[in-house]
Amino acid sequence: MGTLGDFNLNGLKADFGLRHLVEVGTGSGAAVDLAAPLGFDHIHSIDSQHKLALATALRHSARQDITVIHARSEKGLKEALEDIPATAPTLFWLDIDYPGADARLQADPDARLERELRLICGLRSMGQDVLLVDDLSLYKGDLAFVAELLGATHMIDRSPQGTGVLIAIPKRT
Amino acid sequence: MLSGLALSSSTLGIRRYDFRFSQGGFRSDEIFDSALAVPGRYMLEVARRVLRDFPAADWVAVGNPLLPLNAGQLQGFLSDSGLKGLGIATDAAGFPVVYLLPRSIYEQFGRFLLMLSATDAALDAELLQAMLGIDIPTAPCGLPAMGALRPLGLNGWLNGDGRQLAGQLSCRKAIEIIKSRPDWRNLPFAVYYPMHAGDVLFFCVASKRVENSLFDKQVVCTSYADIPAACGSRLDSVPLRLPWISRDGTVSELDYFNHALDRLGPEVTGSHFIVFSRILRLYFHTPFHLVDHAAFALGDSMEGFERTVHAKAPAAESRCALPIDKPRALFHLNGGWTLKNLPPDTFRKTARALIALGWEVSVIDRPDLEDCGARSVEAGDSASLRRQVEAHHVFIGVDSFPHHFVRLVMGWPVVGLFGNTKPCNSDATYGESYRASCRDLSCNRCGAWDVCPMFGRKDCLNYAEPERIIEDVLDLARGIYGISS
Repeated sequence: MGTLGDFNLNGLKADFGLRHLVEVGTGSGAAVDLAAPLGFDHIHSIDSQHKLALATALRHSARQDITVIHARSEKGLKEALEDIPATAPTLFWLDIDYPGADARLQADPDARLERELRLICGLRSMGQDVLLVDDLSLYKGDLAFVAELLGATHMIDRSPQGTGVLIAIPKRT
Repeated sequence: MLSGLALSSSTLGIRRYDFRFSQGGFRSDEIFDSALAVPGRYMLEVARRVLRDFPAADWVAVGNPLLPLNAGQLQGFLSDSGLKGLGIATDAAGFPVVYLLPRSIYEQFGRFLLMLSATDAALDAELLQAMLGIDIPTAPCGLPAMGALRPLGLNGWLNGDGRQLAGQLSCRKAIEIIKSRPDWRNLPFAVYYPMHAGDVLFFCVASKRVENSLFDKQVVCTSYADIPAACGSRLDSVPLRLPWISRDGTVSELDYFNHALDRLGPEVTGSHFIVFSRILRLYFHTPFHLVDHAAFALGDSMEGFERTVHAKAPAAESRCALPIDKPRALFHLNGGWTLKNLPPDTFRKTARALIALGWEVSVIDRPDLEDCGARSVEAGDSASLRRQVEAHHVFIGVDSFPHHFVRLVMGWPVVGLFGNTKPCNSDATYGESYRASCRDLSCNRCGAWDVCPMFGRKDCLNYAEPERIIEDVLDLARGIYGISS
């Protein structure tokens, strides 16, 4: 299992002008803690495990620019994306196997990732966003949908870091 | 016990008034016992009753509702304090004992009394001073210091989780608003009772029944943002973007309230009077429905049985329009904590029997129970719940939001299931289209969470047996739809 700390977050933010961070799988809140001082316009973190979401939410309750959403990932993504302008450069940090995943979908993380990605792409103009998907080695299915959804706008790569990360960054014009 | 004194300069008269927290009656000396009302709400209610009985009164002295004081004691303390006009008599440590206020405050600033802390006389005096622009004296009345608040106070108030201290936080915020906003008199009041779904619903339903509400808004966790509109609430929502508070006590009420105010941010907390209305008294000591508790908190005096949920037919009466040749039952089993869930085997037996009788059985969000032939369906918000309900003839649910929504808002035929909570606090008006059951074990209401305190089990034996549930479902289906089995 990787962490957002494995990446040069400041570098990514500067290189792509990222203004928002959306995380699925708050967990211990490490990613939120890491990103909190970096000057994102807003950080959204989503977890369906109430205890995890609440702990991180309370830790940052005074920060109006940090929202922790207790919800299943798709519902949480919808709520988060309502706050973010469709063209504002956003970093998505998704996790194939996060512990807070809905129990029914936990058995089928492949389907969850595809649904999340389709939801995100359906609600946004994706050309400016960066996507990182953790725990790629746990993914058993066909990732063709990633190329289908992002191939035209993003360069897609796989990093062997940790349990593998799918990286999708905007193609430079 | 609650008490007040009416003082009239014109008649030089003084009258004493003693009231009791009602345990279910509506006598003239009883005041509705609402678990959701702050001490200032009771002060306002005492003053209402006193002024109604003695219209010539210029002044009303009200005992601190947190303390069990009778009017005789009140008069003595007031006399010993030496207060001759507006002021607060205190114990030796500055705990407020008696508030002496002119009638104009009750009449013109009544709802601002909700912001009194009732635990810190200096703070309360500062609030009154900010409101009125005059010095408000506090004066010791001869009582020694009463010490720290107990977890369960002498007059029935809860202080677990430091919840009474939340009143000080509200009071401090109110003082800041009044000092900084010339338009403070016109700012909205928001009731703080944001979690959980059923709680939000109770206030929404109550808001539709209360005329001249003291409140304009309700703080609601965004997880439940859909509920006020779905219930037709008259209160506007103040969205609180925090996960709801844990039920396990790992986060105290006071801590969460602090975080909630932080989260709402200065724009909201600087423009709203937010009143902490979490459960402040043991609501299950009375037979009153939680909607009625909320109605009192919102300002209804609740002076007669006819004002209560149990005296009223639901706002709507609805029926399933689908054919009855294949009757459908929708179950909801998840009560929010372990012992409040219907035991799975009770459901399995019930479902199998109904299916054998020709019914289709669905259950909300329990794919693990499909082994008995039931179909698990999703109802993640009130709109999807409504859709699911409309596709079923009868709803059968534990003491939780879906039950309350389906009955109190939709008016659908419902069989209520109660285990370790008391039916009367959250059921509905009984009749052809509503009934509720439990085994009436003497241990009810235990309110325990994970383990039964009597038998050490992880389920509640007070839930009705499958035979009773089936009988209720069939009986109700026969009466409403003419379905014979």
